[in-house]
Amino acid sequence: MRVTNDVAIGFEIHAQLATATKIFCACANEPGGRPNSRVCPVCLGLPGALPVLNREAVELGMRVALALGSDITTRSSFSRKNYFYPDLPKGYQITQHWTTLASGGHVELDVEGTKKRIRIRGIHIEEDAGKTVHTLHIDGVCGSGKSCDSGGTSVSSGAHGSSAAGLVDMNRCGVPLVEIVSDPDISSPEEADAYLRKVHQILIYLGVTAGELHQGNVRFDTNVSIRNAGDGSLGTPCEIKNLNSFKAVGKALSFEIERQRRILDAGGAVEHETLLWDERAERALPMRSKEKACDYRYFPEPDLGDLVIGDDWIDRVRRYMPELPDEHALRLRKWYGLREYTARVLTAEPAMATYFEDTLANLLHALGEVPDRIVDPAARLLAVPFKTREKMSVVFSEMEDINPGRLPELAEVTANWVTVMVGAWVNESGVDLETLALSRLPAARLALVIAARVRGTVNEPAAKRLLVAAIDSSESVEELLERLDLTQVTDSAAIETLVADVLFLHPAEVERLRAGEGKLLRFLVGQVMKRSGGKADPVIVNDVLVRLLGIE
Amino acid sequence: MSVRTDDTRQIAALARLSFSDDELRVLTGEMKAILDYMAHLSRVTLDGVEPAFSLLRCDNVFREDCVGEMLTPDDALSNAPDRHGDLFRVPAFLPKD
Amino acid sequence: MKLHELTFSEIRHGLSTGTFSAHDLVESALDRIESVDSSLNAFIRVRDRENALAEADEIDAVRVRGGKLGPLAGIPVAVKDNISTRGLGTTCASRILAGYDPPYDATAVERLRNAGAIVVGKTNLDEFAMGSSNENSAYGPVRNPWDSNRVPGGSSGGSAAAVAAGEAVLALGTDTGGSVRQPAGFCGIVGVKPSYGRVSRYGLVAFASSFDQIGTMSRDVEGAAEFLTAISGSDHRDATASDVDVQQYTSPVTGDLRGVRIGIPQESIGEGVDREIAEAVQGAADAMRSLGADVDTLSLEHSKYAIASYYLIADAEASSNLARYDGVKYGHRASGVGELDEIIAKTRSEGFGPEVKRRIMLGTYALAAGYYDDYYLRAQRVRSLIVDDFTRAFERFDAILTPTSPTPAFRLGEHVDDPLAMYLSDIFTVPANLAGIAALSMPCGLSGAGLPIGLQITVDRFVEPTMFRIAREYEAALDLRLRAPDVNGMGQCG
Ligand SMILES: [Zn+2]
Repeated sequence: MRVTNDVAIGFEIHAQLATATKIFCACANEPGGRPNSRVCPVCLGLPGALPVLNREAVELGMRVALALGSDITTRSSFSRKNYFYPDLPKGYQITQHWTTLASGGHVELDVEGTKKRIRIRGIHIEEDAGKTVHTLHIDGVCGSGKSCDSGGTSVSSGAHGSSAAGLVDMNRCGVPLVEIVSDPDISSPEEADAYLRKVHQILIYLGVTAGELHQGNVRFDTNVSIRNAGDGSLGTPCEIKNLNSFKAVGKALSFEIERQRRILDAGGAVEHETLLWDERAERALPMRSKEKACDYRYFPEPDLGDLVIGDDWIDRVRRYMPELPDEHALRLRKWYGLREYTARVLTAEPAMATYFEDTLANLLHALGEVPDRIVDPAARLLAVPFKTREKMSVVFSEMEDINPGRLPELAEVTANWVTVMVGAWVNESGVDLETLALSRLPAARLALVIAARVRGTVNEPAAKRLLVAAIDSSESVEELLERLDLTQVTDSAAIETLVADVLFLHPAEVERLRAGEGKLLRFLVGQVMKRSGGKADPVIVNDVLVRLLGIE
Repeated sequence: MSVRTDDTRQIAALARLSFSDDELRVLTGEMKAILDYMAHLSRVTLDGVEPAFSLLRCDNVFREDCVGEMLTPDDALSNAPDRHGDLFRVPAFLPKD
Repeated sequence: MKLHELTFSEIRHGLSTGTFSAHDLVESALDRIESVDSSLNAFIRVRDRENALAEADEIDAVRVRGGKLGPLAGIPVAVKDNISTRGLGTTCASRILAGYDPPYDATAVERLRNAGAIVVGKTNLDEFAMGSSNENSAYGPVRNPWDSNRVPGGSSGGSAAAVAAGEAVLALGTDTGGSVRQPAGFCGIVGVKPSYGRVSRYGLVAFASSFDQIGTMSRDVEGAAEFLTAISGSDHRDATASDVDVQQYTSPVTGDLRGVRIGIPQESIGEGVDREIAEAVQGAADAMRSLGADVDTLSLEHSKYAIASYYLIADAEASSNLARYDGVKYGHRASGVGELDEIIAKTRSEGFGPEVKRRIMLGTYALAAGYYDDYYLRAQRVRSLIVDDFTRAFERFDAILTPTSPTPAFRLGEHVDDPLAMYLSDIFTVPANLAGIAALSMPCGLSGAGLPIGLQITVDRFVEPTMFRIAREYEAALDLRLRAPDVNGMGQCG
């Protein structure tokens, strides 16, 4: 692989904001549903209708700005971006052009141990467009549809040919978007991937977007250029639009970097172009020249006043800022003594980290060996990420002087249960973690399962059976332990009887073990476990065997 | 500033209007006369004068984030020149950036 | 006296004393439309008689019971056809909106209905309110009730003619550059352009969003004032509607204008203005002086740039506002097959008339890359200077007096081939739109040819009460009752 530090990549990230209503009208902001059922005169662009700005969309945008360390603009304004497209009902998009919601800021990356800063150029809010399905129209029958739209969700390989009709659904018109524009500070597809995942993680933590890439909640446009070998100045950039997954970005960047290198290696010059990524063909295709000649004729939106954001407002939003992933990971390490790796795995998704904290608090309570402050309901409430910094700092100061005791060990055990055991069930079932946590396996219930294992009431295999039973059944964990007869046998006398039986039944193996074939110990332990119905404590079985056989 | 027929043709394409060559010629003449008149604005001294964009508009007018009344698909499509089920139908076109 | 010749004040008095009913009034308006509108062409669509009369009967019943009624109860009103009315259609006098029926009512329409007014029909206009003569209508020109060879003015020509001819007592118009005041002047009635933000624009089909205002028209000041009171005020659906308190704009005549400072811009009674018009305005000033007002001259230095600044900004906004007419969601769509871009261009070229297309072209030009700074941005900066002129003027004066137009109603076809000459006739009306201030046009005499002359009273933003006060006192002192012309004998001077 070539050295890639001569590549300069920048991104425009569009994320749909998770407001209840659209940005300029009172229509519900929800995905799916009957086409054209969530529209009104405003978002349909009916003559005479007027936009009125949704305050919540502004505040969610402010959260993003604060999270990325951007400066919020005191006075920003809206502009019209004029272009014709069937799913753009007014013939213009209301966006921010000259003065945007925020500018500056950065995202800190950690790519294979190396830290890197990606600068943010600006953040603005705007409205989404509708959705068009292209159909092949044959003798009055509509063929299979392909989704495509001006917001750039997906374009099929057939897109550059023509189809016979377009069917337009305006439900998405007016859904609020935040656009995050970076400087071209990214120098490889790997860094690009890290950047996008990091921003995505932050957006999820902020609770500002549903964040589902396959639903088009978050979309990417990128610009790529190769620096001049001589003076290191930026070369002519090309834009690639219509990227809807991390994978597509990686492929598109590799494709485009290769393309530009081939041109430069052959002594040519890269021409400024806008390319559309064709997911199916895995190729970026230039837009037709007719479409290139676009002139958006931006001008100030006369239907909306300026957006004036003072320090008071910023402080209010800041006070209710959710915890960010980096802060959360740090706090998990500080509070519970988790390893850095574990903290990172847990904070990949706020839902998982929250579930972990909730489960751990319940576990400590169940084991009865917890500092009161952690199980105190108010403190437990704070153990979810959506809390204020202010309250958090109080808890931090209270936590400093707590003796961790067994806490780090229990925290790692709980993390393992959440990420591995529950994680496996989630992957297999397709039920998402949040739903599971809210319905069949609340944190308190999971904590009882873990407690049974930590106390030694059940052994490892039985614990796994208990977990599945706890998810599938509505009985209490105690009832399950009894009904399924999972309680571990730890009584030495009972285990000695079982061991004696096994030794009697397998004289040959006992001989060979005594002769030095050490691996047969595991066989004998297995036989004892089998006779116990899987309930014997394997550690005790091992000890008894060693003692009775008189081996070391 | 002088307007030529080619400029007019390009502006017409941007505005999605189509004109015959004769219409374009007449229109170019009319636009030239009007724009020549507008050009006398260039005689005004404008040092330090800000544009009057937001002169009459109120800052920070917001809507609270509450769902309101929406149209039914039938109402939304009631004026559509062509529809297919609950969707607006349009002739063939190419995707845009 | 016939019902259709009464003023709003007389009608309200007659209703309250039971001299006639709402039923009588609505019937009279609809009869009048039936008998004269084939020559005037003021209406694009007229309300179904049975429905309108049923509404009137309801109001009469409430009155008989002694129930509570709105301030406009039973008054027949006409609504300009660029204001959305559910179930009554809204075409903007354009082919491109043929058959369009909005699924909602404009806020102003909702409010006039709440006040008890009864809509009798939708009035003709220059297509998308672009014009000063009402000749740019897909439904044919409107004729001036004073002289059928002359234009009624525009763009609210249908509303002005309807009120002048007694087809409605009151009418809503819209004023982007003089579209209420100029036709009011040409037709000898009162027309008000309120301050920008006074009346919600929700449901008013946008032409130039930063200038558009809905205004009221009446045969007397009282009607225009009462109507404005009813439709004004903030609206959660229009971010540009102001929440400045609405005052009751009507009040009794006192015969006193003492302490009111009135300014007359020298430019407005000089070169390019018909001598008899300048004299009529001077006469109005004299009348006001004799009521105790202080009258002096002033200069609005940058008003000579108003037309250029106004048309560049208005057309730029229009080019964007009219982009939505693409034949996808509503309105006309060109037939035939082809690529969508071509169908859209064909749709728009068939659907829009020549003046609308000209303005879209100019506006697109003014915003296009490479021209924005020289045209649109420069026009917005010149606009700041015009606003400053008014700010300074209103430090010295409470109101500014000018003619509404430099000439009385001109002949049909007179300016059709010279768009620029047509634009220049808006010289006295566009400054108020640029500055967002309030202005009213009212009759101040008749020309030698027997045509009404319009007087414009301009006041600072949200100072409508002063504007109405001056108008009311002058109207009472004027002693010139413009008789609703005999439309059946049109062509003869009253
Ligand atoms: Zn809506």
